[in-house]
Amino acid sequence: MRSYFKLVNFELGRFMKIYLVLIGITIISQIAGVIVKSRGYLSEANQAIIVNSMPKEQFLEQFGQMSMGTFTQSIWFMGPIALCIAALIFYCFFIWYRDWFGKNTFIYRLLMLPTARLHVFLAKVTTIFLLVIGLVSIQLILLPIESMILKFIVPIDLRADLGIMEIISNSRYLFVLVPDSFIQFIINYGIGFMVVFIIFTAILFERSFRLKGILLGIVYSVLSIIVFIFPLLLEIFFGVNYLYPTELFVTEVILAIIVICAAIWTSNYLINKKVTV
Amino acid sequence: MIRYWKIISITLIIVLTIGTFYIRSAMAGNDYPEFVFDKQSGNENEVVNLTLLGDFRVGVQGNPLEISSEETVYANELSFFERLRGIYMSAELERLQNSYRNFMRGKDNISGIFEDEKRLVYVDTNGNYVRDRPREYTFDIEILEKDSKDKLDFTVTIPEKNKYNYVYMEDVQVLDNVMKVTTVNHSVNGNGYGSEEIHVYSLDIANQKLVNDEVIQLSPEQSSGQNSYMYLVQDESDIGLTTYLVFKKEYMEEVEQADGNYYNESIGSELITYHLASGEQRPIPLPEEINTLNSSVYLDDSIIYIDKTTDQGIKVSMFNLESQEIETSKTIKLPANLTEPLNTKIMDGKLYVVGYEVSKNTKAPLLVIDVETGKTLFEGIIETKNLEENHLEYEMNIYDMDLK
Amino acid sequence: MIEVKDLTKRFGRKKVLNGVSFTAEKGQITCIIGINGVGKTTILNGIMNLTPMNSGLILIDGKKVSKESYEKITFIPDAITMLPQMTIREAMQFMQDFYNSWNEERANELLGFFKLKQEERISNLSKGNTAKVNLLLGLALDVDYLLMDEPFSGIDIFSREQIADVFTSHLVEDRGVIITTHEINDIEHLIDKVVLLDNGVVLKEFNAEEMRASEGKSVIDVMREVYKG
Repeated sequence: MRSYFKLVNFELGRFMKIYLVLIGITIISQIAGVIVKSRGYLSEANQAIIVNSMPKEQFLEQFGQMSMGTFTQSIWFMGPIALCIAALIFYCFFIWYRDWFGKNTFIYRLLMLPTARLHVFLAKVTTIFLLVIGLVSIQLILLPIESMILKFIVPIDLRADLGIMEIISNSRYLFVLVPDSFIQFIINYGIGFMVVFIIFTAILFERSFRLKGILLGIVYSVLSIIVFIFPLLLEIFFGVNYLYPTELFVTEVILAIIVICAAIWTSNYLINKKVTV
Repeated sequence: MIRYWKIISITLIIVLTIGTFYIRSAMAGNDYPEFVFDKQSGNENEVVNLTLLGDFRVGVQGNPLEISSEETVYANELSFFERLRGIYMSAELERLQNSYRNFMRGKDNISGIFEDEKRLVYVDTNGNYVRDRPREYTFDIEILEKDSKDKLDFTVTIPEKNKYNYVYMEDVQVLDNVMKVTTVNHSVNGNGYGSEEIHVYSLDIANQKLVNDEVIQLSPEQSSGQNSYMYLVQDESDIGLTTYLVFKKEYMEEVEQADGNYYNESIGSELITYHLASGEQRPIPLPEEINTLNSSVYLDDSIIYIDKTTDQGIKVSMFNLESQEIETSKTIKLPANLTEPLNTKIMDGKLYVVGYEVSKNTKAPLLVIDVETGKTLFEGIIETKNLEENHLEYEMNIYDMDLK
Repeated sequence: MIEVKDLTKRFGRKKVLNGVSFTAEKGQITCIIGINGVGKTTILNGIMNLTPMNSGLILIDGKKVSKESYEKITFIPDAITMLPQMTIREAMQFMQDFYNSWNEERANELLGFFKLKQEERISNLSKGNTAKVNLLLGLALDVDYLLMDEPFSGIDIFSREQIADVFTSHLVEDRGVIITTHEINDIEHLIDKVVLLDNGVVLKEFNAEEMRASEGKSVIDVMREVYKG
């Protein structure tokens, strides 16, 4: 167990520089964005109300109030989030392949550690998990700060104040990342990590059987997904909706657990018996 | 320990922020206002069972809500599992699902349900699709005998099977051994124009056979060039036996509007009854002054209620299908200050009137009026409580009401 | 004792190992000799369970390889197996973190012996020094068996001498060593046992000392006989 935590810490360290850069880009872009957007709105208001002597009510009707809801739709806000998502998806693959490629084949060392090889697998999954949820946390810390900056720049009669939950539910994408119920949060990320487990297992297929492994990995992934969405497939293609929503939910949870267990079991087998340096 | 700062600090940040966020959002509940029925005169018992369905909105963000005399429930206050069950599940369906859990599996179209003391019946239409085209339409019928718990299921093919590209369930009735299934059948003719027919199919339960296929007929005065559509007046949540089926048919004409586009405009309507036992169809002879055009029609066993908002007030009429006579027809005057458009609905012989909108400057009225006597039983307004500062610019729209 | 029995390994249609068997004793230096591409590295990878074999059996002191084995046997591949951005100190720390058999005292001794500086980054080291660090990370483990893949290839002459010195020192004494090479010259005087490999089979397995004593042939003589004859 200790070596598992050491491995997680070690894997985190290997991505830490890029991770901090990603966080830095997010903070800078979003903070700068909220300032730019608020100032821009304000100067538009000044132009309309003071220079063009448009009544304030008419201006508000035409342009709407400034709010965090407006800001979260902008590229300043969504851009860094998209970048972080893309980087982490890429890293899902790179976290494995970086050990094989390059001059210093670190995979020798990882496979020769006097610890269960499954720990290496689980440590990588955990690392991706912590990196993803860590970014979500950073976003949750940033939102109230950005909200405060907006309040500081835009006067009260030109802005609509939203609570954090309202800001989040205003944005379709943000709402997927941070749903309003904790169970939904666990579902969203549970499905996400089930997919990470599947991808990692597919990568191990490729690393074990190379070209043939790519095919095996794809077949394995498709099978896993089919198992998970089987009740939904039944409903869509055969019109069978035999289960009540709560039962369907429980079934899906069980299927997800089965898929994840199968991934762990398969990976354990591959990394112990089939993987090759 | 210090060497493990990466794992420790990331975990700490995650647990603290995500934890705080969800604990706070659970603790804070929600700061949306509460709406109450504020009585001005009359008896508050009249609104005890009333539920209003609406939408609360600040800016662009809308949030569905349900207002009853006891509480205001917002959709986003529901727990994950309450949402999973569905926010707007019909109370009747919920009761049946609780009492006949296994029989009711996968049966969520309330139009296909019939229930009496002895049995529970479900009829579903099935297109047996092959490459997007239905091969043949069938009725899939399941009957549960309540006492013996025996289940009977059989399938009956709908005649003229190639004609329809969609068949919707509208209603099911069972009289002794005959099942009457009402459907709306869609067909597409050679020109690509769609048309609709309402059919009443009679099925012999004992022999599991279709014995009759009747079309609810158009009345002869319908001229060509007019569009029409017809629908079943019965409330779909009425799953018990009725004596009559009542259909409303509206005639439409394409009218050129000021902007040059053509719109369908209702130019006339009629009511047709179908007596289930005899299979007799006939139009309801309503006098000229009771025009069903642009009015709401309700059926309560053998009484038809009609309400229509006019300049003078709300005109309500009662027509008895047994005696074929008008029992009441009067215009109920509303308080002079009510000029806004209103929701109206007749339920249990009472007319419920409620405004469409509640906001900073608009107060919605709420009235309950006895249709027969015209007496106002309850008069009040919908009042806002606990309105937070950030919701001052709210708007709450009411779009339906119901009795629990 | 390391026992290798009847190993076969195919890459696609090509049979790299075709029933390879030999043993390596503790306290001896066993040298697997063969030209490049003959499957020497594959055998070492197989012993360490770094690549699956198609058939055959590998036993270390009578037991199959498991995670516990990695505290008893270690492998020094021909390239360093540490992240290039690490310093030597960090690499040593990593080994200490994960291996109970890490011997910090011996590691420091080796550092002095090789004249390496702890704070140097692996990516900045010369080829010879990288090989030394690689050797250090393996030798500082208190393991019974050491596998080394071509420890002398592509390294300058002074580093070679330094490394060769290690084999005669207490740092290797008492351990079982398997070493692969395609040129015997540097280490002929060091090795106890020779396994000659070609075309995926063991051509000859013999004890160098006994061979010299009984038949008066050096390792090179035997090789000439086997490969040319």
